[in-house]
Amino acid sequence: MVVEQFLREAGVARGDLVRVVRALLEYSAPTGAADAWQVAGRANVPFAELVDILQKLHADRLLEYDAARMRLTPDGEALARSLDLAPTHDPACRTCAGSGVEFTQFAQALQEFAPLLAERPPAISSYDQGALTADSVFRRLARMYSQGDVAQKKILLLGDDDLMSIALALTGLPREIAVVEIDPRLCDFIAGVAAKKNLPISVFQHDAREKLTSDLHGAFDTFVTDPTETIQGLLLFVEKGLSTLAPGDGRAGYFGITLIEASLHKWNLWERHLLQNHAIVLTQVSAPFSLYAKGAEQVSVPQIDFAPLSRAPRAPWYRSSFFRIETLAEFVPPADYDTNPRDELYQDAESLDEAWALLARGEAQSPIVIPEEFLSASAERAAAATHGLGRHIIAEFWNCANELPLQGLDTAIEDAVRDARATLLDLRIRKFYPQGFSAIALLAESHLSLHAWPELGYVALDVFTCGQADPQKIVNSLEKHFRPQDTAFLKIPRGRARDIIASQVIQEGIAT
Amino acid sequence: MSEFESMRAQLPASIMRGDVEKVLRAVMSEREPWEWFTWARIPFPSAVAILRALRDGNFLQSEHLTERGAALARELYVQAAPDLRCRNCMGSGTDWLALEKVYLRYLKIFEGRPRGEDPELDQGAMTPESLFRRLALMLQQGDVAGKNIAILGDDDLASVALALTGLPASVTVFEIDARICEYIATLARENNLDIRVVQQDLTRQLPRELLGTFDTFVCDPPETEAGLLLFVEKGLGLLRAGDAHAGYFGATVMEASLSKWKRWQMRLLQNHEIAFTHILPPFTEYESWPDEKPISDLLPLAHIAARPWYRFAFYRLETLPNFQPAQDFETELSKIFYFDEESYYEAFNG
Repeated sequence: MVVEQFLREAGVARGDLVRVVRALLEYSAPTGAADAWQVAGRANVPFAELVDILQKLHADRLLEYDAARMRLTPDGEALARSLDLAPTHDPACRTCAGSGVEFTQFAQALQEFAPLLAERPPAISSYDQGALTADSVFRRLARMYSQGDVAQKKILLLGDDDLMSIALALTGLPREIAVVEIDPRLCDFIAGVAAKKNLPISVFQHDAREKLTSDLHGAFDTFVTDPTETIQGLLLFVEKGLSTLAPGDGRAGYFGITLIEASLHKWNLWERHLLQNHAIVLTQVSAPFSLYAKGAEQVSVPQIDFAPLSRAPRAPWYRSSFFRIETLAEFVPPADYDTNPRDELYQDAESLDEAWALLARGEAQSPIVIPEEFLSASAERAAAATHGLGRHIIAEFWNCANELPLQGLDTAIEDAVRDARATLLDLRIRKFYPQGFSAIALLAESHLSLHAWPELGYVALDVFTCGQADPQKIVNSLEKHFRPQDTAFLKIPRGRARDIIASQVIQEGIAT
Repeated sequence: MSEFESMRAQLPASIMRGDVEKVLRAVMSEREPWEWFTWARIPFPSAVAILRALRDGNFLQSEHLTERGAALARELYVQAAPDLRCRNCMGSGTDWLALEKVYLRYLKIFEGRPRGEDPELDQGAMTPESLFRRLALMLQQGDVAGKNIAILGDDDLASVALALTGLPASVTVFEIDARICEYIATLARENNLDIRVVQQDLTRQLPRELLGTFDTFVCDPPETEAGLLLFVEKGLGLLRAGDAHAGYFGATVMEASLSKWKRWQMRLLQNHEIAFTHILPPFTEYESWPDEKPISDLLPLAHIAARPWYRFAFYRLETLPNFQPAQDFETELSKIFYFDEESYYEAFNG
């Protein structure tokens, strides 16, 4: 029960503890001790939580460290075993660093590209800058190339502190490259390199919070961006990217997302929002192979009471997954929009800088605040998911007390339909010999059908409406007309009924 | 009239310009004709229809574009997109060499498996190397060691490979085919492997006591809309409540259009507290299957492929803290469940 006690005291999820301990074991395997920054990169846990877990492991004498390196104590190893974790290696492919692609084909372009990184203006964190390593740039490029999104394509880079525009241009493959970048120093630098090397790159200095110029709208085959990781920040960048894609199928968008600054909760919101609002599909989500030089360039390190993380990292550790989305035939580039100034674009409770500030103040991480419009949209979605395209009620009336139900049936149906705010288009009532009758009402909002066996006191009623009309009201009105002593209902949300029908039928035992 | 417009007129309206671009790009990039289908990334019947139209319009001769085909490619701005997959991991990003001993044991068992896959049940096995690449990824994500793993449909004998690692807490197979159930149960006895086998038609309810009791599920669903959702949502019914449980499934673009992918993705994200953490390129290859057919009227494809060519992308989803196991259900699904207009066999009809 050591584990349960640890989780309770630390207030962390078991899954996160498992990830941190596994990363510790993996990075300890080769030399017996793990580099703290590499563990932070591999664990896939938001940074502040990672620090909480490491501090607690240390306080409980489960973890020991000197300078930047950490190892589990024998008690820590026992904890690992009770988490079902054994010493292990990270099985990431060493040939491609987990990216799944090779870029040897671009050796020459890489050789020309790499020295430029050192000449680039230094990163400014207020622009959320932090650039990819040269290898990571070319791994991304190789992925894009092999998907057919580079050769002869018009490519837009939305923010380009990675200098990917230059890497792309050096391959000689794209038809046209445009860069939209907020930082004037980077704009000058990229334009300067392009002029000197005669590369087909157009540079636009622009703040992505404002609308893009109209000539960029719907003009590109491919976009690439490394968005900020707040809820609106990521959507702003990706949706701006989508607004620059040409209509129709087969266009592609690429963006990086981390698990270091974004919980899976945000991933879910982003994936859902993008799929719901645009005619696009997720075609690839890579392993987090993109490494950032951010750490190595960091001037200040977090003031954390945890020695191995209070010195600058020696090697890149911060990494992101690379998403690819593709447009479908119905795709139309969305309208561009100005940002709501209240939207938090750069920082939220999961951001690294925020985490560092909190940790320095000794405060706990607060949960992410989900914006109101997301919650309401999500509630609407949930309602739509419950209602489907329309609501269908199958009702059973038994032991009906009305012995002359045909009398006044037409008026009863007309009133019931009106009360439910539905529109009656046609009504047919047919009496059968020697007894029994059926009624069919065609509604603007679907239909109503009714079959009666007066000799049994039984009525089978079927009411299907779409839109705002409420089928339950119709059923209730007709119940007053027939006056049954026993009733039963089956409600079916049409359009998503496949599983529901099955489960309801089984639960309520109406069908065999 | 442009070259594109003239060839477009020969094709059904459902085929888009982007589809033609993809097939052209595949033909320009790949020397092995059966490989075209992996890299075209559109349903097999559509790709075959486009290849036929290219041939009929004299854009394609044998496996090469003609002058006219090259002009069409220029008009559409299509160029080759080479396969740059890492040769070591085939694009999976993981290395399974650490599992080599397990692999060798598995290989012996796999080679002795009973053949005679039932095409009605959409059976077919992936290559052992593909399976071990998947396994390495699952290990890397921490979804194997100490975990209770459910496998929905196991003609690949993935349960055997998993159990041979000795890492999972338990392995349970849900399989419709009595022969495979029997075979896995026998293997488990003979090799002293802890595998529970449940003969199960997934359209019927799962054993109630097993719902919400697993950490990880794996499946290779049929590629129809209803078929994939059935498998994956049954998998989601087996996972425990709460965060950090994982589901894996293979999906191909060879028998499912991207529109269908989108519908799957939306439905799963809307109805369940999950996120997609990985959609990896098609590193999973299928062994040839008994009724694999050549396309006799297309010269480069007039013989069945010499090497595996049918490939799958691999999805990983992870549960969020609010996740609740999906409600179990029964459903009546007919043949539509396994086959639809995007299925491989459609290319041979008519």
